[in-house]
Amino acid sequence: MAISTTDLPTDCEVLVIGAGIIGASVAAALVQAGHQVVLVDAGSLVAGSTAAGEGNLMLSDKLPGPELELALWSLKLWAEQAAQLGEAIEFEAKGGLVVARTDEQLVAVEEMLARQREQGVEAGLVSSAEIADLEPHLTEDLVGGALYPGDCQVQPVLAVGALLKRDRIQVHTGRRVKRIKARDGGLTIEFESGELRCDWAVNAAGAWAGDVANAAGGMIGVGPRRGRILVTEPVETMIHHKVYEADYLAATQSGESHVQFSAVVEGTASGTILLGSSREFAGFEGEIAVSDLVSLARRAVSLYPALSTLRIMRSYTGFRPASPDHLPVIGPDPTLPRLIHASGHEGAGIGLAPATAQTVRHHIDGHQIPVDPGPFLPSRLVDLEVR
Amino acid sequence: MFTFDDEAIPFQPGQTVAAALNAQGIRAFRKSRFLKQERGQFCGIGNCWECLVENNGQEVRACRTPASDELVLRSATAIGSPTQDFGPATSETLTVEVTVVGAGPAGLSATKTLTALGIEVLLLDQESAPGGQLHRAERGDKAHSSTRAAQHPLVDYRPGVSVWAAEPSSSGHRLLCTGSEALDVTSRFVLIATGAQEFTLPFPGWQLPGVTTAGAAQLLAKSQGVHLDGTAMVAGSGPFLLPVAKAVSKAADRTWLVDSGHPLELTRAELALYPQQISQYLGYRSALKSSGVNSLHRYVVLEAFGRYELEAVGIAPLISGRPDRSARERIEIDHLAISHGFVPNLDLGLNLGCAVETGSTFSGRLAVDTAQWTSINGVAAAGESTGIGGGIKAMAEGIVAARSIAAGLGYKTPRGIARVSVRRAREFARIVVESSGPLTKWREILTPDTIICRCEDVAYGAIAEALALGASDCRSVKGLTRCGMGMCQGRTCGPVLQALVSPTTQEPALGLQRRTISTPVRLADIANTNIRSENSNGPS
Repeated sequence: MAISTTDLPTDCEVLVIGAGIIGASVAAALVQAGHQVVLVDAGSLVAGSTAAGEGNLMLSDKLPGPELELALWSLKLWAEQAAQLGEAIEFEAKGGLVVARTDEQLVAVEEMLARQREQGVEAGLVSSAEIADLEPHLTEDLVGGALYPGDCQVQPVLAVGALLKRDRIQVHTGRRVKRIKARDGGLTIEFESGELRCDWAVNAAGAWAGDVANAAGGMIGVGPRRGRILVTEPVETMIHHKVYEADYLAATQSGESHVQFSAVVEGTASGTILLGSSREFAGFEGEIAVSDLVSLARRAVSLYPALSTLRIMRSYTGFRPASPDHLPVIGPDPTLPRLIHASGHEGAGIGLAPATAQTVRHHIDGHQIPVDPGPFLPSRLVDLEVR
Repeated sequence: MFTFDDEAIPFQPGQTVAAALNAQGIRAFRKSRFLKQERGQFCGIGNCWECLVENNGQEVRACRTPASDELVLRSATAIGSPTQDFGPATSETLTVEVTVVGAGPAGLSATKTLTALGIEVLLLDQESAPGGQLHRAERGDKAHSSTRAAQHPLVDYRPGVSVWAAEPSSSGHRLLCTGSEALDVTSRFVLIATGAQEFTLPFPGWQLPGVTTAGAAQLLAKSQGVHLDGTAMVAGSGPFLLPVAKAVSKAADRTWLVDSGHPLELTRAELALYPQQISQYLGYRSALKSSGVNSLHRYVVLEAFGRYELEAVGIAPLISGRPDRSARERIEIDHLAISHGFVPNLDLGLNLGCAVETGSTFSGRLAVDTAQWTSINGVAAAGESTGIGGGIKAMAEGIVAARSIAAGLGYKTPRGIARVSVRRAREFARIVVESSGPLTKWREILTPDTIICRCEDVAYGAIAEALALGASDCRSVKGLTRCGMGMCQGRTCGPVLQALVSPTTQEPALGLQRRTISTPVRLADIANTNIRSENSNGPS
């Protein structure tokens, strides 16, 4: 457990719980808007899921509807943020390529694309010949796909660091929230050691957001959906887009608990290539079966045969904060309205962070936002079955 | 002759490419990833991944590549490339009763004990010949007698393989190996005898070609037959400096020993308890004296100087554990060998789920009971992985572990004095560590530009910035700076990062040591592994 070395203030306006991409983005947005913020984390900063994220800023995998609306807005905010934060966060407007192996998959891709375009996504179908031009190392065993030029990538840990540095936000690490109670005009937060009074608190604890909700006497049904990545040694750029198989979409939306694999391949600015993905409900168990590493490897090789001679340097696990209906949970707690939840982003947290931050701000100071916050409210989950 | 950047390089039989190049005065093999600094051999045994040279489109470690006539080599300009195709030549699936991983003193003594009882042993060895690191410098005709244990008819000896993944299971622990062959081993009992690696504390300029670990220098001097032209210095702390200084003094024109510790001082009673260790120690001291080695105790290297290679060092005396910079001196040297002790290789133990306990500030160790069993059924550990203690402790623990495994197989084992030997060896190790640990104020030698992570060119300043931002564990510092993300996966920088990040932690210093993939392995070789229908889901 991280040892806390900073003195915690006794009062503040807004306490943000969780120093990952969501917590850092919320803290930064509130500070920029003139609020007084204290940021805490039970562990170190970026100690949770953010560090295991691939840094996806994607429109391609968003279901038409509220999620896509949030993503369209969020990616605009990212572009502005990236222009300011510069190369330090390895922002790449590389584009996303969804590829179909079967006619059935291609039909699904076409349908999804049509609906997304209705909502304003600029993207188009590509033939297998065009795909071969875009990504020469991809398998030739494809029937077609779709190219989304708006998909981008960022290095998520560097992004958190850059935001905190820019806005001079200190993280109070090693501060685990034990209880959250209402008081007149605000909340009292009890930590393992120390106490703080605040006007507002934001639950940005990601996969652990359920614990924070419990500390407030409630629940929000957010839990870990485990994933595993293989990382190659650094090589000269071989992969130009974020590339994934069409069945990725089915996997993200699935509620099945046994492990689901779907090939996702992405290069990084530092030269390594990230190979994924897997999804399963396995609590917080960090170690996976060797057989699952093998399945990941087989999927990657099948999609990109040219990768098979690269050496895998390492592998790691991440816990996506999954919500019961695959939509983020952003808004006031039904019982303690001064506690604003900001979690449940599953595999889309990095991309949705800036819009989430502005939505949280909206709930605190009424700032106008261009999307309807209704679909994300925690109150919608009260009747849903929780995991 | 082989060629390096079109220059013809002569070599002696048995030399590595790294040694042959060094012998010709070529010490810079490539440029570092981001800062483009000259780099060459550092650890000498394949752990640091610094000595890369390009061999026909493949980047290989020069220290693990035997020199041969057909080689056409170039300075490496990359780390990996898709045109490479090294991989195991064959693959095999094995189910056995006993697997010993590591053929150093612990693994060999365990193997000898087991085969003497008539038990078959699968002996997996990362090296190309038995003896581990301790006897690495003695190969071929000079091979240490203990290595004969690997040739016993009941031993299935597999050299050149490393475990890349491991999974504990009540129906047989699974070990996946890569290297000269791909092995999928299921073993009822596993003995972890994977030894240790050298540990070095960074200082300004330590990344210059010409600065190596003490072990690398010992190899160059002893078995690789390289004459170290000019002046050599062996520096750091710990008892390993002595045999290295002895070996180096025979190969260099002039040798310094710069030790931050003090000479071992023991009571009469202690001298009586450890006759083997003491006579070894005194032997080295007198050898150094008679070969004219300049020995300085309670001195430290502050900085290595040089434009493209090592040219000089700055040293200073220690006053109450702190360098006295007012008394610093510059000494022109050509070779610097540094060591601050050893840290155990815990990969296999961690991946099998074994419990770890606090070791030194810089590392943990596998927890074992008096029978050498770890916390996982059927898994024993012996040697450095249970705590740094040298060859004598390793051999004694190997015997005890082997007897425990034999008992587990239903054999009656002789009662011997092995457990007493283990206790004595551990006590001696503790005394040695207490008298010769690295200086406590080592952080004060670091400057913002001092490289901490050699693979990814991460300097101390970046780490300090991450810590100032609030990062309080190794993982977050790693994410923010890339420290530990290179090919060596934190083997060189991990213990140092752990000490920088958590100076007061009481937890086992694991830092970056948990590696699911324990050695770089081709994606194809992972994909070609069998998927078992009954999975064990790892440690719970």
